[in-house]
Amino acid sequence: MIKTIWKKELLEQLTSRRFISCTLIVVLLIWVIGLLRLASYERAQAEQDRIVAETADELRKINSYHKLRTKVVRTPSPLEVMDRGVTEQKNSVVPIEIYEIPYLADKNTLSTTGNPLLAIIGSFDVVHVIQIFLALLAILFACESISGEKEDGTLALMLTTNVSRMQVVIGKFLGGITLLNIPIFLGFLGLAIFFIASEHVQLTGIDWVGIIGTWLASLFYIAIFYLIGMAISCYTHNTSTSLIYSLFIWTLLVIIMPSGITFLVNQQFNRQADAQQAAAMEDELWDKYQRQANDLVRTAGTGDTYPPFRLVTNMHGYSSGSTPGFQIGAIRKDGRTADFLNMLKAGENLRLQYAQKVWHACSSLWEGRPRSLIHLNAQLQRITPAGAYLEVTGGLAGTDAGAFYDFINQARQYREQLLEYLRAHDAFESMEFVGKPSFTRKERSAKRSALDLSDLPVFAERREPLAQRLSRIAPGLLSLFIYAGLTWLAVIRLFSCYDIRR
Amino acid sequence: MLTTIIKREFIAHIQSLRFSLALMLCVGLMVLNALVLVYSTHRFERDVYRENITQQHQTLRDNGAAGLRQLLLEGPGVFYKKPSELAFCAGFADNKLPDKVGAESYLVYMAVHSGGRSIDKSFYWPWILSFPTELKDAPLLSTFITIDWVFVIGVLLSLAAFLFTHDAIVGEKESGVLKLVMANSLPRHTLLWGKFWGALLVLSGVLVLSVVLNLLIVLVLAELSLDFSHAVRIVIMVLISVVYLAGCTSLGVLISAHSSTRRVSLTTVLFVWVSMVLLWPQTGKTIAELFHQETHELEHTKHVYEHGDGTFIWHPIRGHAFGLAEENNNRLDPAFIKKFSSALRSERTHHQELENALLLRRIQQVNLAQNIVRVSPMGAYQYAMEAMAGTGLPRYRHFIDQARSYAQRFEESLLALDRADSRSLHIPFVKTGLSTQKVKLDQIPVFAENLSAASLASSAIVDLALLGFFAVFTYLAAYLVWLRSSIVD
Repeated sequence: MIKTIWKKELLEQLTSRRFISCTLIVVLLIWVIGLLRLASYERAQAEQDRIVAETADELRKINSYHKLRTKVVRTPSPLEVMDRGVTEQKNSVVPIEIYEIPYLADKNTLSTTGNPLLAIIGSFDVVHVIQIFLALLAILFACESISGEKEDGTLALMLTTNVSRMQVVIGKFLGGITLLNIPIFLGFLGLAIFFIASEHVQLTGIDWVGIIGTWLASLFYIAIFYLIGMAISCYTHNTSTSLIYSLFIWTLLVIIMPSGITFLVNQQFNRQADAQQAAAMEDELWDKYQRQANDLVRTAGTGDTYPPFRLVTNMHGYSSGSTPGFQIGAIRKDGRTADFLNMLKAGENLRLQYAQKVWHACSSLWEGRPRSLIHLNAQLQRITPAGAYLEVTGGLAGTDAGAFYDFINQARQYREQLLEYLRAHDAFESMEFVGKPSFTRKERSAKRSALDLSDLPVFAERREPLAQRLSRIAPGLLSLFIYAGLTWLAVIRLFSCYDIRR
Repeated sequence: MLTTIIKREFIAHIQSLRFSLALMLCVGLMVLNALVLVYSTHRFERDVYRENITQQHQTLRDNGAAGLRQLLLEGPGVFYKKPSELAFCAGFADNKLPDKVGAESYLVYMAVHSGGRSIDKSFYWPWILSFPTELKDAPLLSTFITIDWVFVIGVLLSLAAFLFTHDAIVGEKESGVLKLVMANSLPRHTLLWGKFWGALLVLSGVLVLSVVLNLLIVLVLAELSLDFSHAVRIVIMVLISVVYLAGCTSLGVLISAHSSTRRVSLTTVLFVWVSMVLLWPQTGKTIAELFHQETHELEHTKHVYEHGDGTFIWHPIRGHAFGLAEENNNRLDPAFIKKFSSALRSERTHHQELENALLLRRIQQVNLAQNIVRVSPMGAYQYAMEAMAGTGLPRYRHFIDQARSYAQRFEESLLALDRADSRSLHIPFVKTGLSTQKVKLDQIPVFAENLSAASLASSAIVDLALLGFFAVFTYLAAYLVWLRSSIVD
C-alpha cells in the first residue's frame, strides 16, 4: 500500500509544471555555479604552483641561515567546487619563520593576491542553492500534502480504504523525497561529470566519499524540511495558512537564524583591539629579550649589546625581535670569532625561547579567541538544520575551519623540522648563521654565494584522513538526526490525531 | 470608491496572519539591530578613529616644528576614513573595505664605500598616495547578510510585499469576489490602484514602525551624535525603501493578475523573490572574477620597482648617486640637486600612476560585479542605501577622492610657503633644496572628509533611477496585464 501512495505522490507532482520548472532552475543553478567554481579551482591550483615555485626559487638564494624563511601552501580541495567553506577567508599560504610560530590568519588581513575589494559582494556555492532554494521547494511541496488533500476531499476517501495513517505518512514522505532527489541527483551527476571531464581535477577516494556524502547529507537535509512542511500541513487544516506558517518557519530557520547567529558571534570579536593588545605584548617580550641578551653579553665581558659584532667586525649589525638581520662585513684579523660564536649560540637559543614565550602570551589572541568563537558559532549553528547541514558539507569537502587548523598544525610541525635541521647543522653557532664572512678584498667584491640547502626538509602536506573528517562532522550529523527524528515524531503525532472532518 | 478599496484592503491585510508574522519579524530584527549597535564595538571603532586622528595631527605638528623640509619630505601621513554613524542602516560592506589611505615617505639607506671608508647614507623616498587593502577590522566569520535595515526591508519586507499581493487579483478571482466587485461601475485602474495602495500603506506602516523603534533605541541608548544631515539622509533612506517596496508590491500584483490560480501565483512570487533577492545578488562576484582577471599585487610590486625601461630603480649605481648627492650636497651646485630632484619626482609620478592604475582596476572589477548585481532591484536598493548611509564602495571612492585632493592641497600649500622663503633653493623633495622655517598646524590644511547628503545622493543617482524605473515599470506592466485579463476562470 505504501508503494501505491508513493507512486501516486510521485506521479502527481512529477508532471506538474511547477516541479519541472523548479527542477530546471535548481539543476541549471548547480551546474552553472559548479562550472564557475571549477574555473576558480583551476586558478587556485595555478596560484599554488606559482607560489611553490617562487618559494623554491627564494630558498635557493639564501646565503645565511638567519634568513631562512619559506612558505607552505595548502593544496586546494577539488570539493571547493561544491562548498568553499572558509577557503575564501582563511589564508592558504602560511609563512614559516625561525622565530615565529605560524598561526591561521585571515586572508583579508594580509591579502597579497586577488582583489580584496570584491569581498563586499557575496557569492553562493552549490550547497547554498540546496540550503536555501531546495529547502523552500521541499517545504512548499510538503505543506500542501495533507491539508491540500483534505481540502480536495481525497484524504477522507483514502482513509476509508484499509490503509493505515502511518502508511499514508510514510508513502507521502517517500514520494516527496524521491521527487526532490531528482534535482539534487541531476545536479550532483552533472558535477561528477564535470570533475571527470576536467583534466585539472584528480579525485581521490576521499573526494568521492565527500561527493556521495554531500549528496546524502543534502537529501537528509531536504527530508527535514519536507517533514517540517508535513507537520505544518497536519497542524493547520488549511493550505493558505499552512503556506504562510511554512514560509515563516523557512525564513526563520534558513535565512534569519544562521545569519543572525553568525552576525551576533561576529560582534563578540574585536579584531583591532585584540591585534593591538597582542602587538603590545609581543613588543614588550622582545624588548625584554633584548635586555636579557645584552646582559648575557655584559656578563661574559664581550661588550654591551647583543650581538657583540665588535668582536669580529668593524661594521654594525642589528637585532630586532623575531626578524633579526645581521650584517657582517670585513672580519677583523684580531677578531675573537670563537667568543662571538659562543655568544651567538646563547643569544639565538634565548631568542628561540622568547619566540615560544611570545607564542604562549599571544596565541590566545591570535588563534585561541578566533578559534573559540568559530567553535561557538559551529555549536550555535547546530540549532538550525541549515547550519548543521553546512557544517556537515564543509567537513566532508575538507573546507571547514577544522581542516585549516589541521593544516596549520602541519605547518607548525614543519617549522619544528626546520629547527631540527638548523640544530643538526650547528647553524646557531656558525658564521653561516649571520652571513658568510669575507676576509679578503676579493671575497668582498665577489657576490656572496648561497647556502647549500639541498638537504632541507621539504613540506609534504598530509591529507586529512577520512575518519578525522567524519569525527568532526559527527555533531552536525547528530543534530540533523535529532531534527529529523523530532519532526518525524511530530508528523506521526499530529497526523494520528488529525480530524479529517474539520 | 478608491478610498473604500484602499480601506478594505488595508483592514484585510492588517487582520491577516501574514501581517502579524511580518510585523513580528521586522520589529524584532530592527530592535536586535539597534541593541547590537548599542552594545557592539562601534564605540571602540570611534575611539580608535579619534586616537588615529590625534596621532596624525601630532605627527604633522612635530614635523612642522622640525621645519618645512621635514614636513614636505615626510608627507601628510595616513588618512583615516571616519566610521559612518549610519552604518547600522546599511553596514554589510562597511568593515570589508579599507579604512585608510597612506601618504608616507620612507628613508632609503645606502651603504657607500668611499675612500676606504664605509659610510651609511640616507635620503627620503618621496611620498605618494598608497591604498593599503589589509583590513584591521574584518569580520571573523563570513555571512552573506548582516542584520541591518537593508536586510530587514530589502529581504523580509519585500517577501511580505510579495505575500500580501500574490493573491490580490487571482485570490478574488478564485473566490468569485472579483466578479461582484467589477459588477459595480468601477474602472479597472481604480481597483488596481486601490489594491496597490492598500498593500503599500500596510508595508509602509510596518516599515515606519520598525524604523522609529530602531531609531528610538539608537538615540536613547547609543552614543551617536546625529545631526540634521543625518536626519535628512535617514528620511531619504526611508523614501528609497518605500519606492523599493512599491516596486515589489507592483510585481506581486503583476504576477497575481497574470496567474491562473493562487497556487501558481504563490510559487511564481516565491521564485521571483528568491532569485531577485537571494540568488542574483550573489552572482556578481563570480561573474566579475571570470571576465575581469585581477593582476596580482606581487606582479604590481615588481612593476613598481622595475621602471618602464626595465632598469631596477634600486639600481646600486643610481642609488649611489642619490646617496652621494644627499651626502655631499653642500658642495654640489644647485643644478645637480635640481637634476636629482627631477629624477626623484619622475620616479614618484611613475610610482603614483602604478598605484592609481591598480586601484582603478580593482574598483572597475567591483563596479562590474555591482553592475551585474544592480540588474536585481535588491542590488540597486542595497547600493542606494549604502550610498546614503555613507558606507560601501561609494563612500570609499568619496574618501579616496577627498584624500587625493587633500594631498594635493597639502603639497601646494607647503610649496607656496617654501616659495615665500627667500633662503630656500625651492627644489622640492630634496632635503637641502627646501626651506627650514617652522610650520604651524594652522598654516597647512588638515584632512577632514566632507560628507554632505547631496554628494552622497549624487553617487546613488543610478540606483535611485533604477528603483524608480522598477516601481513605475512593474506598475504599468501590472496595469496592462490586468486590463487584458479575464475576471472569470
